[in-house]
Amino acid sequence: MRLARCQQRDTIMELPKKKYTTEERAALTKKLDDELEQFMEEMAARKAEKSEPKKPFDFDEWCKEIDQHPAFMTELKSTDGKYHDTIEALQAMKYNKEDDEDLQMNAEHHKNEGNKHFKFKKYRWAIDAYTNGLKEKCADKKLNAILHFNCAAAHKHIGNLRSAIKSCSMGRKFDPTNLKGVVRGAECLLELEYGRDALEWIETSKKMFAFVKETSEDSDLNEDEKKFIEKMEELRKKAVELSLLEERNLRKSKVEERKDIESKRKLLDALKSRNLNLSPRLPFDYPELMDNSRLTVSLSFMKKHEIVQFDDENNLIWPILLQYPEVGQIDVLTETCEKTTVGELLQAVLDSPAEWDKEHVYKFENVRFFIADQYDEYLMEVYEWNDFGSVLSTPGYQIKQGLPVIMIFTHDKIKKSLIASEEYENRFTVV
Amino acid sequence: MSEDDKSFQELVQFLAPTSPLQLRRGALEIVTGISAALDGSAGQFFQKSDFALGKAICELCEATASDRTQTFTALTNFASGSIESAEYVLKQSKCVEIAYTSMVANAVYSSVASRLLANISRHFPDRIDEKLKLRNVEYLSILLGQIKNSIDGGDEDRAKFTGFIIVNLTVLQPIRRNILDSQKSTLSLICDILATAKTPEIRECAADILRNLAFDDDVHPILLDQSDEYLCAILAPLMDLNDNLDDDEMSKLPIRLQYYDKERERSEIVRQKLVEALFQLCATKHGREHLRQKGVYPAMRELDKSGEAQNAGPDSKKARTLLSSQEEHTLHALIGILIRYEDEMDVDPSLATIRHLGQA
Repeated sequence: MRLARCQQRDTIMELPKKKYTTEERAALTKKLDDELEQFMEEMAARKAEKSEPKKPFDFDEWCKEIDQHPAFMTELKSTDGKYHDTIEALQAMKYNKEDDEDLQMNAEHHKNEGNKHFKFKKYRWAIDAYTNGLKEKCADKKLNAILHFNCAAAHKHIGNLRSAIKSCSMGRKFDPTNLKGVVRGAECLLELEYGRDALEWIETSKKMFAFVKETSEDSDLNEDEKKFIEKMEELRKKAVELSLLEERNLRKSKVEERKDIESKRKLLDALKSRNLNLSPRLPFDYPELMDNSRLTVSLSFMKKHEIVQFDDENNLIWPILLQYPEVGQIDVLTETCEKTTVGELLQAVLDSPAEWDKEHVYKFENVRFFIADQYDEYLMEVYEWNDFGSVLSTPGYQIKQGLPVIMIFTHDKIKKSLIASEEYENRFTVV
Repeated sequence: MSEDDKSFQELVQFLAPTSPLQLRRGALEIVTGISAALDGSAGQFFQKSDFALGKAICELCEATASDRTQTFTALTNFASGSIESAEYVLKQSKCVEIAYTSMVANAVYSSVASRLLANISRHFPDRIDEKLKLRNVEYLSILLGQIKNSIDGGDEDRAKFTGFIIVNLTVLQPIRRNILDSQKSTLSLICDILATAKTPEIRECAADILRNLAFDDDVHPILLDQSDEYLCAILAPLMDLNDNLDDDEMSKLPIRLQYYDKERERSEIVRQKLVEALFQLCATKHGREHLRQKGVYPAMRELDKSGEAQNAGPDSKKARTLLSSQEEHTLHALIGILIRYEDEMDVDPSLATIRHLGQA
């Protein structure tokens, strides 16, 4: 074609040039205009002769036409087993035999390109190339399988093990006899430590391979296949070990969960039997709903979180907060057995003065002990012979956030600021 | 001819396959009644007049399938108390073969057939083995497969007695060897039956077979190999989810038994057999070392403790004790071995098995 056009140009070049005068040029222009005018008129006349009445714009008709256009149609309708012309044209483009060969060639080309990238360790480019090959959707199952499996290999190299497994699974659907790819899938699963999944993959792969092999003409195993089957057996053993480990870990976590619930049940039962008033409230009958944070004491100056627990004799051991309201100081005792009496414990605590108590005002003989009621409306005195167990279950007293509070007042302060209730026994209000 | 003899002759005649059905069934009822006697009279009756009755029953069994429930029942009873009757059935009739075939074919009378084989195999395990081998070399796996199928199909009654045949056969050393030589698939099947059967009798049989296997010292290395299949099978039923093992003890156990989450075997007969199996494994150095290495002691300690706990409980009665005195005796002997080191055993290290101790 190109050659022919050149010859034509040559011919034009060879025409002798005629020189026009202005008049001649004007005459020629007029002539050309007239001819065009005449042509237009003739065409209009011709059209007028066979003129059809102009159709008014019909929206429904227009919708139908649009619906039949492949770009807009929402469903594939056929009349008398034939599709609309435009669809048939598309089908021809897609499924034409010649095109099929093209697709296969393209896919092959993408595969080779991918392999080239793979060789140079450009794994992402390789994945793109293989994916493009798959987009060709050629009819060759083995080629598609190879594209998927190669894609998996590239994914595996860059650590995308889950994507690799997905690709292997697609590849196996196309060609279960591609054992190299199947083995790759098992390796990825094992690398992710999915023992049971790996075992299932290997078992199903074996079955699929055996089925295809039995039904194919050549049912003998070749050397490569034997090698991969051996490799698969090795992987199967690993998968069995791993799945046993998985099951063990599952049992272990169940045992731990069970033990946790048991210990919570024990603690809840103990708290319930002691008739304690706790805030926040605890799900006494549903240990599985128990959240230890409801009892955990975490104060900024404490080294670790404290929570009520059992000693060896099944007594409760509490963390206890001592308040000195007059001086705005506190002490925290982390392990106080419920059997210990107030006197026993506090005598030891108050024996030596605190840093802030330079004059040792807070001597045991100098103080009395109180607990506040649930709504902080009044105080109740506790005595040195009371044990903590009975103090904590005093009616009206509430343990907030797992930390019982005991207030220590000096005799002076009591005289000045505490007024005993006339109505109730052992109730004091602060002035 | 006395009146009794005459009646006897008539009874035998009525058992002929050609006699009318009503008559035959009536005669079979009488025969079954006679066969159930436990005072030894059944065997004498069977042998009377040169095995006339035995011959008639066997012939009827061979001739008609419709009478087999009755004929097999009668033969089972006769064979249970009388070795002569058992031998006659085995030697002079095809009843053993018929019984085997009907079991494999799962006939309606397969359960009765298995009882007959169980009784005869108790007297003559070797000859039953020979006969069944002629039918099918793989008969042992087939019978075990039958049990497994009955478990899977939820119809364990059908195969309740099949296990007894195999237990009787495993008295023979070649058969025990055969079980281990069949690429372990037969052993796996037995282990699986022990773990899954709901009927205690079937579990007892599986435990019996596994225990019998432990009697051969030379197979201890095969039984106690790295797969731990056999060890797990006999140890698992002795363990319980509430066993108090610390993490160190847990990590020594075979991985399948770590953090075991099932309850202990309820049948004390099964437990006794399994403890015996472990005890048998202690006969060889390999066995002892393997059991120590796999942390069997803590599991046995917990089994022992569970017995004490049950005994000490406020509502414990003798009938409800977890461990039988026999089991406790064997268990303590086993623990006695497991808690010691090999060099404390006072056994010549060159001695392959302590069974030879007495012969030295």
